[in-house]
Amino acid sequence: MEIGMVFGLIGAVIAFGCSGAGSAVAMSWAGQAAAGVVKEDSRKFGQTLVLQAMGSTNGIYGLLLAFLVIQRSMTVTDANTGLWLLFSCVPMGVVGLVAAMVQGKALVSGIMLIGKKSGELSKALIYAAMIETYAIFALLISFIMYSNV
Amino acid sequence: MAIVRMDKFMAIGIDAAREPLMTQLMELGVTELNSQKDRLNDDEWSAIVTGERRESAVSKLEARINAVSGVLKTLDAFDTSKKPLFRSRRTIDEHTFSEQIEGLSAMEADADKVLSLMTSIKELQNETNKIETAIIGFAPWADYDIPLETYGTESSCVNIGMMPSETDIGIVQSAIEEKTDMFELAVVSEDADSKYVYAVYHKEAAEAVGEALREYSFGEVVFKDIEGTTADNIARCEAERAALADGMRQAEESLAAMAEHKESIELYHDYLVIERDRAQAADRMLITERTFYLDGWVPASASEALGALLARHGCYYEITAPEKDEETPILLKNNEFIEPVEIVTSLYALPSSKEIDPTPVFALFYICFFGIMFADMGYGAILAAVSFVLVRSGKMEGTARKFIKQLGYCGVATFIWGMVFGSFFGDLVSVASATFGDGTAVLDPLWFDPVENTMYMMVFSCIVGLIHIFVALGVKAHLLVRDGKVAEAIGGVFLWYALIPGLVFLLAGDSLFAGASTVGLWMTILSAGGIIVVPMFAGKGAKRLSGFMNLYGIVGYLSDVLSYMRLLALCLAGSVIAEVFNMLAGMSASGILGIIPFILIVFASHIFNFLMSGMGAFVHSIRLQYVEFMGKFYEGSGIAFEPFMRKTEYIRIVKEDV
Repeated sequence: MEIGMVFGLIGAVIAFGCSGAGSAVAMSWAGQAAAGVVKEDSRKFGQTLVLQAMGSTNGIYGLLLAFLVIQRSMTVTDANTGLWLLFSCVPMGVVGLVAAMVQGKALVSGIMLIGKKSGELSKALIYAAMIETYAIFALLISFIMYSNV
Repeated sequence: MAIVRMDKFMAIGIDAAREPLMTQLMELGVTELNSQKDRLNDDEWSAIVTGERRESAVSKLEARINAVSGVLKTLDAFDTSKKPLFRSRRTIDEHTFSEQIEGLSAMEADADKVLSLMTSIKELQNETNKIETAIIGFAPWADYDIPLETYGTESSCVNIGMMPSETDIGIVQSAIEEKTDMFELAVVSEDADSKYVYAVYHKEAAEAVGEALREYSFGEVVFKDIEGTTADNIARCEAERAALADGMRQAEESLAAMAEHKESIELYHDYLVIERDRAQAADRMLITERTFYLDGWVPASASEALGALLARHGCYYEITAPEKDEETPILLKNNEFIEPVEIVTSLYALPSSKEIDPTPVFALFYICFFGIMFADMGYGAILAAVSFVLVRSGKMEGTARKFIKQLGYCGVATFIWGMVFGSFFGDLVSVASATFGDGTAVLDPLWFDPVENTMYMMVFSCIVGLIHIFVALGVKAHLLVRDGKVAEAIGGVFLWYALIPGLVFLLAGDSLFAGASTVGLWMTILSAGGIIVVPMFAGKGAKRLSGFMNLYGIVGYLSDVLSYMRLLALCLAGSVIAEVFNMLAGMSASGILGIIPFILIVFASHIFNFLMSGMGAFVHSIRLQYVEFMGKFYEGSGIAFEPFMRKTEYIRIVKEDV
């Protein structure tokens, strides 16, 4: 394997590994809270499911970047370009991991809110979406770095 | 703007007119009745009037409503007819409603019948549980054939009991044998935890046997009030269980038969709800021996109808416009196009009566931002079509209908932006053409492809964001000028209109146009100077220096504009994910049969992307309205107008002539 390609692939591992793991944790927390709410009132399954699904978005951003970087890495030979690719994955990986996990906590609280009071789904969604702002910025910075390789 | 103007009303009438007036006020459904608690606490008022509380009637109705809701839920489980995805209220006219209410006693009897069936099912269930517990208790002793009430004869004793499963019965036997041989000890059955044993021994050996058994932790089992052998008892229980199951089946069959009365019980439920609400409204009235007093709010457009109604019942009444600065309940009214977007506003908070309804101002931005972030012809067409079909079916009403309808607008915007950015299920056209055709078919964007021209899209997002922010500032200026705070409008809004473009010119420099940086420099200096100077003349005391603080707001505007980068990021995320899925579908398809996996992958993956990206576009478009737009001027401390009306759950009563 060329050294540039290795660097690029390490980048993809960081981008998806971190944000994907974070999203998995977030969805697990949300799922546990949702099960508790549904135990009391099974009609809330749909609403809680939407909130749980919200936890997956950070991972999807990481997945997206990883796909792009993997494709690009196949043709990279020199170490410089490879390193550049690797660095471009760091914002998404780091922010994606943290944002996903703290978003998980907000999702748990949102699910509790729905458990106590019906019809508050959109508010709970918006609280969680606020956190995602920084994952979006991270994806943006990563993408800009990536597209300037 | 689009906040409905409210009038105040008060009315005094005589006792005889009270009940009919309340009924008709409810039917009219345009008035909000004020609480009279303050007046009752006021000495002057409470000397002449009293309040009326019908708490016992209300709680009785409440309990009945709960019971009937339970009945309906139970019947739902037995109703085999197909249930629609969105439940809609049945529409019946006034005449039919009052006609059907005449059969009230029959409905009541139906509901009671279901209730008693539900109770008996619950009892049967309890009995069955008891019997099953008994059977479980008997089961280990199934092979023990001494009648259970026998604890001995003249000269012998019989004991049954449990020992820990690890006990070796042989050791126990030999331990007793050391002292006496007038006994028999045997295991009837055993399970993971225990050995079930019986012991028969001569009375003379009682002490020796008892001591040994205690030593090996024998716990005696006593079946109280039970006669006959275990086998007899098990048979008896089984028979009882079968009888109970039979009874249960019969009760369930009768319940299923009652399902056809569901509609009339629903009507009964709503009748009770109306009665409860009317009883509850009684405490919004002040009464004397012969008269009553009430006041509240009515939309100005309905004042006339209310006046006519009050006059018809011989009431003395006054309808007046609210005083200046008086807070009124809020009802939003917009034209048919804007109306569905109202739910975005009400999700945040209603405007107070001193503010304006922001819905018409941001409606287009909201729809447009959703379109930019979702931007795909395929997704947009699906969203618009689904919304169109659902709204046209007429099955939905209220907020659900509004929500679906505004999603339809968003779908149209998504389609349009999809054309602008050249996206149809991502790049499905070129992938399909490359896989199955000669690869020449390509969908060209009308303007540019954001995935290729990221920087271009970035600038575009910022400009759109600036326009959005400027419009919000414009609303702020409008409110300030309206309230006579012109200096604040100049320092807080108009100078920023010059400062922000000035900074852009200054930073972007001559690449925009010749001399841009000079123009920008002067615009920046003059407007920034103005922002500092204006409060010095207009303010008082320490407030004269607030201009410096305000100038610091530049950081806020910078982060606001950056926030619009989400337009770019979500648009990119959606389309790149779609492209990745299309690529996977293209790789899996080879040869003529390859079309099957191709279609399957495309279908499943785009449903996924549709849901995830759609949700993202929705919440982030809303966020841009709430934080970046409404944050500039909106307080949202309004309280919703809650008319006294029939709030029915299952039926919708309409007047014949409308």
